[in-house]
Amino acid sequence: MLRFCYQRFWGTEKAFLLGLIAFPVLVGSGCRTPNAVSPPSSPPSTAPGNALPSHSAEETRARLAVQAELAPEDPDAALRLALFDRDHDAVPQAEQELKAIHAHFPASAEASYQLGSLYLNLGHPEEAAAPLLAAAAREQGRAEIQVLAALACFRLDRSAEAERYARAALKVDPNNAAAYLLLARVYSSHGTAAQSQAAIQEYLKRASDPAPGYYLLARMYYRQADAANAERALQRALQSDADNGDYWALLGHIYGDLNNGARLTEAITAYKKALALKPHDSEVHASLGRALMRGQHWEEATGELRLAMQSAPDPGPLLYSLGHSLLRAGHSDEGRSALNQYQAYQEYIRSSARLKGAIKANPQDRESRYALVRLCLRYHQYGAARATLNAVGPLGRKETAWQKLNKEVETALSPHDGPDFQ
Amino acid sequence: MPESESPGCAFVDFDGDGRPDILLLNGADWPEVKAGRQHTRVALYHNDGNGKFTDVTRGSGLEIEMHAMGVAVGDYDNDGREDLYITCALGPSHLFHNEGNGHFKEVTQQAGVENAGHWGTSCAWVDYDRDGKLDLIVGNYCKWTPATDVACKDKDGKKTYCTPTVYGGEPSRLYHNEGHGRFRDVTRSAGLTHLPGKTLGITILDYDDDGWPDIVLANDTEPNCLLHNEHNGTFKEVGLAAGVALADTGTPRAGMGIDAGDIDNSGRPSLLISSFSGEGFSLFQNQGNSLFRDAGADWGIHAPSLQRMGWGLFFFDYDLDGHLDALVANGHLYAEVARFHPDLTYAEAPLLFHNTGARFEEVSASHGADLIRPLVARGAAYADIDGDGDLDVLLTANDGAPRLLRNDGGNRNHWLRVKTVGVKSNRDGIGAKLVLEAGALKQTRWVTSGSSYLSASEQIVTFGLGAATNVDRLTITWPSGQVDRYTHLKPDRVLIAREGMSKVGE
Repeated sequence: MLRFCYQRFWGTEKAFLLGLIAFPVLVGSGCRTPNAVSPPSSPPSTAPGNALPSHSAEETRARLAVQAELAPEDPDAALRLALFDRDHDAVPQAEQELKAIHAHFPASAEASYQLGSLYLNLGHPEEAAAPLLAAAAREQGRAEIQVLAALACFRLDRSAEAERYARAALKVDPNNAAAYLLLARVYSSHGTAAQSQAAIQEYLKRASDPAPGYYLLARMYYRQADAANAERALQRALQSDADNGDYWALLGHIYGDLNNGARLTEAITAYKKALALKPHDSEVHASLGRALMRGQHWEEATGELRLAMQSAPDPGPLLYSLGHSLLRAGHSDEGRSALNQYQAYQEYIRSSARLKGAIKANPQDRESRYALVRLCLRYHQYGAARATLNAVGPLGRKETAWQKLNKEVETALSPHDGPDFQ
Repeated sequence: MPESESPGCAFVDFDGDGRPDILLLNGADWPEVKAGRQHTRVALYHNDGNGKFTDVTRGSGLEIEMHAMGVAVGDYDNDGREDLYITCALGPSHLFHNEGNGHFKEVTQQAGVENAGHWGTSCAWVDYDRDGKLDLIVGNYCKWTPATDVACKDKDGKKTYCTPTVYGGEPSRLYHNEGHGRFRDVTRSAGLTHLPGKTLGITILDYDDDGWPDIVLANDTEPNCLLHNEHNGTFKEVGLAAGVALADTGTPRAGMGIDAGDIDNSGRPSLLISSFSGEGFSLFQNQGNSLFRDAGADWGIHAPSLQRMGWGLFFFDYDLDGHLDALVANGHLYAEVARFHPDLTYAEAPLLFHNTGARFEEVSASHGADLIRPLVARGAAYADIDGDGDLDVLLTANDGAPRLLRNDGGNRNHWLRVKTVGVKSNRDGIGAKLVLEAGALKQTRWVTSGSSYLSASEQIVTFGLGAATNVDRLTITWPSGQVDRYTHLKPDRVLIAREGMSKVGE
């Protein structure tokens, strides 16, 4: 039987997910788990997740593929291959393989667990939940599975279930720090501050890295507008991990939002430190831009807001701040242009919401879809237009209206000015 | 849905005895409720002048069953008596003409201000064309009726109130006073039909000091509107360009109550707007070039308001030190909010912000146990109920008794209260600009209608003078353009300022 271990993070939520979404990785006969460490049988590889350093990646994959082919009824052999692909930047392939294993071996808790954890990492909790909950039901003695099931539920806003699975993990492993951290998050969103605080304290007693606990504590105090305690907790987090951009960004919020403007300069410095660690984080660029606006550093603010717009998933709202920053910097025409774009964005959002509502109410109504495409074209939202057309079934694609719109969209999809709103 | 968002209240000196009386609005059972139906009505309380109020509703002409929301107090026919306009969530609004002798007459239909078919909210009197007659702006909320109610569910699958985003908005309506007790709906010709609606609060101000009243609409989940008066009977929406439409994140907040006031004694009115828990209230500071900045965080409004859901609010100088303070009435929308957010409560304490001259400090905890007792507050208004010069506070509650808070000790400083009486301008002097200079203090205030949430404060302007024992100069610029100047006024009294009749040295 395979043995799995936690080895590394894979994902972007390190601050919150310490130990929660670390992938189980094959390491020959040895295995490390969060709470019971066994030394690996061979020196660790520099390749992420690769525990078979004596072969090249291609050779290793070929060998695993052969093993999987020779043992078609062995889920472990197939899993080895899937996990190898996952850890070697072939995530879409790994996803397909894991789905196939999960379908072929529905009783394999390991397959369910791996598939669920992959979906969680990909940011699809709705797809992760079913396999993880199935795995948790079958492997009630494995705390790490219970914790991931809890995380999936938490992400789906199913707080009662999240709490139940986290508690189940603690029943198996009372020293599971990750379960306490997750409980703290659940209580932070759906419980009392006191409950959350108590869970964080339990986490801090057990965790090797206290930083995520202090960060969560700081966030909680920040939400309560308790500047002093928020700053105190966050400084503890930064003592443990000064290279976390999220921590610096929160420090910026605490300085900027909770101190009546008296610590705006410190807020700006904190945001800049965050950006040194996360140079492409649109939210931090936006926060810095707004802080600079408050300090009346209009030109610098404009630059930051433009950077924020480049990577923001929905840059529309940023047009408002950008417009005002430009106006105040004396760039009246550009400022007015940005505000006009913002107004267009608002109109687009309002109209598209109405049409999306009509489509949701009657998915067969192609006229609403075409109206949405026309709206997208009018506001130069070509990506959204194409996505809307692509959602029409094969029958609809034969219609003249679809083909005409498709031609328009494809023609328009050449590079264009102005932001994509969504 | 409307039952969660009402009611308001008003201070109105309906009998002209110089003492502010109280009008309380109430909701009503839905029309289809027959058995056990409560025949609720508004309630009018006479200020007896001895610390007591007497219910004088019976026989007042106000005993009409209605689902009342907001109220505006104003003398629309310039007969010297305060009239009442009351908006309703279901059914038309009501205009009550003050006939004198404690009696009101409903004149809605003949006046043409029914606002029929709309869910009316806050409202205000404003002489937008400066013709000496008060016009009427009526806020409307959204396209909701019991028949079109959407069944939204909470996380436990229980029915709960939908957010207003589920419903389309209804734009505000503007009624022009044609004289002879008649109004004309000029919403379209004034250019207001395109507004997003979902208006809960209205304030009147002259933000660019051009002498013409502008209008701000606080909208719920929609951008706030700043309607610039174009001097020709039309308004231009400039909220986006002026910087009052949205939070600085570029997203609309849940705008509820609103007031305008000169918080920094710059001579320019800034704006305070309450909103949903987690958003923080907006303080838009007027920078003087037709631009505002969201200064809530810098002025100390943002942090204390993060965990409150604010409704009625107003600027007032409660300690008469010459700087406008602010009070915000709070209370959550959802009775069961603690089930989902255990750190939040349905009943919440009001917030009292003391203005230090450069920022606000939240000081409610040191201003009496009655002030900080939690309440599911909605409406809020102020007036000097006991004639001692300082301003007292009335709060209404959702499904509960109102709270009248007497300000004891606010008058340790000197003060001057000014009641404007228009002659060429509208009789109330609504829209008049008053600039007072006393020693180093220079304050600018305006006679207003509207503001807060569904409520109406007294129209008398109260100036705090601090330690100053003499008012060097008081300049009143009337809506008619008339400018009256008073010099060397003694403090601690009410000045009746009649348009065109100022006497230097009075």
